[in-house]
Amino acid sequence: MSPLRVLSHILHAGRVHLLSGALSITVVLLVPTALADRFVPPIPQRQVQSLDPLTSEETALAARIATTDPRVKESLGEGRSQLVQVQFVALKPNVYQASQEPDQLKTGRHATVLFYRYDNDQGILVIVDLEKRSTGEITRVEGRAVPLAFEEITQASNLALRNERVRSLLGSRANDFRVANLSAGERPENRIEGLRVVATSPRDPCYRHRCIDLLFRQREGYIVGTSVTVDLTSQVVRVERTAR
Amino acid sequence: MRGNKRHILMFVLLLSSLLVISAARAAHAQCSAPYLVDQQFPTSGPPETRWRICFQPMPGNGLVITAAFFQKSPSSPFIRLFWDARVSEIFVPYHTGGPRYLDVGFGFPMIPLNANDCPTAKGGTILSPGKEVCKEVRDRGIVWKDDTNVRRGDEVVLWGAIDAANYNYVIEWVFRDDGVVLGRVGATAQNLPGIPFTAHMHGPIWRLDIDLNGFPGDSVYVAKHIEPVTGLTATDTMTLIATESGQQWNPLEFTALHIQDATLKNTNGNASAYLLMPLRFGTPRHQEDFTRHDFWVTRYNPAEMAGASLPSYVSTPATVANTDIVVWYYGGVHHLVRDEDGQIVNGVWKGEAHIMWTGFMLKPHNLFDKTPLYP
Repeated sequence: MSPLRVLSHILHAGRVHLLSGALSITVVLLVPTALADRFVPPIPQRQVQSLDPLTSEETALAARIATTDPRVKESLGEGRSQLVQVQFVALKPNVYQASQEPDQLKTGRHATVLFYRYDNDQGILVIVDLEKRSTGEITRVEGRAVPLAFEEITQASNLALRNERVRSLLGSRANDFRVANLSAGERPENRIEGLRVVATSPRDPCYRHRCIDLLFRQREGYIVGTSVTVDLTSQVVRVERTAR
Repeated sequence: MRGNKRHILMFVLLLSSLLVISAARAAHAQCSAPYLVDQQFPTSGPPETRWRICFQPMPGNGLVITAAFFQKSPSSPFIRLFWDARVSEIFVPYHTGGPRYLDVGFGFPMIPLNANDCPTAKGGTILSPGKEVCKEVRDRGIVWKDDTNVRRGDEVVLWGAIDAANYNYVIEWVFRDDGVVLGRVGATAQNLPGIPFTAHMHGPIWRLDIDLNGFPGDSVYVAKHIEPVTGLTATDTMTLIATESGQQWNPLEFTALHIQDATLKNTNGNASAYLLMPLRFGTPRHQEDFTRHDFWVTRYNPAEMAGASLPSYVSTPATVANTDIVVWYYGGVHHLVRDEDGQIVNGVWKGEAHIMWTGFMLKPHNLFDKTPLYP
């Protein structure tokens, strides 16, 4: 009997259930047992693909590799600096492969680690190879292109909450206000938010400084009519009444 | 005979399993669920076209596309469009001269979405572990109509919102069944508490790492329509951008960027390209040097991700012809404050500014061999 006739016989004999059931079982059991020894390395529970987001372990590893690297330390100098951000980056392979099938391009796992230097208003961007556990290119970045770190807005709010005019603005609830870690899903009733200020004129005290405008949000809405700017470089808080 | 049957059955089962595994592998596209969107069109019935997209929610940039491939027919290979596409910066200057904010430069987080944001009944599915991304598969209206013959189209939309303190920005990417891509930013929520009645602009800068048919061999042309009103004829020109630079959009010339690969052609022998066309109400210009152009073209550099640093990226212009290019587009929302935005009640702002959009379209040009979505 030819294979096709056997298959036909199986199907026509009302054995479709047997076939589909066996198929499922095979996918789950047979293939791993039949092929694992020869072709497939042990598979972790969730295999991270090259374009998946960084895991928390990878983020911590990237920060650790960058902060302990002697070249990075040299780039950061002796002055005050801040680790600002660890981000996923997909680097293109050096050699182009003609095939367009996406899973044939091997890009590895990389991160960019960004620092800010307060002494010269400059960012230091480090590319980290997570597989080789090494740093690659280190690039200087304009200060205005460096985002604020969560720690910086916390510093700014601590400075502001020690300012008498800010405490007067917030009244009896001044001690209730705090910076929310929005990434962690925190949404407290009285929270402090910040916006990055960019000064373009040398006459502006925030020119080439790290400045944040603080916003105070209550459950009912934002407190209006006053602007609070914190200069983290000079550690100065400026409070101004604004027109209503 | 019984033994033969068993062997053949095992063979069939093994073959089927391998096919299943192979298909799953092909669909991975270097990212895994829930960061993978694999969408065929039409959504039911025989497939005609297909998108395969990888995305990531990122603080600051919001929803970032980390790969996008289009398949123009079930028998065609996937063609890469994006290596990476993101909102690189959103510049917000107030008309009084200050404040001037770089909203992406804060690293704002994305907002977790709920069923009101992304209703299942409207074709929505919330993606990613943090629930920051909504996928909507929806009807996009008329694709073409010819008397009583008509074709409606579909699109898959990915969107998420960043919480920029008092403002929210909705970052939206639309992938259509005809290969068109729309990138949009919508500005909404509450006016700035210090100066809630002051007009201002929201200027997103997109960084589009377009790698048509792979990353080498791309070139960008400025496409212009020129029609002097003193005559009756018009011409359409294409000028190669040879070195890194910024370009102006002129509404009288329908300025667009024409992005073309050196080798990608359709079966008619015509070079396949994508046209970058603005979707805008006006042209924002400010003192800051990065706002002086609407388009920029740079050579790929993974360390160059900041829209506000564009002038420094092109200060020593490298060649961008027939190489690995990145295209940048700057748009703007002009927010004239109105009573509908809200009001002050007992020293607190009450109200929400309804969403205003700006963006662009990327449209295939000679990618298909004939009219797509046509019998």
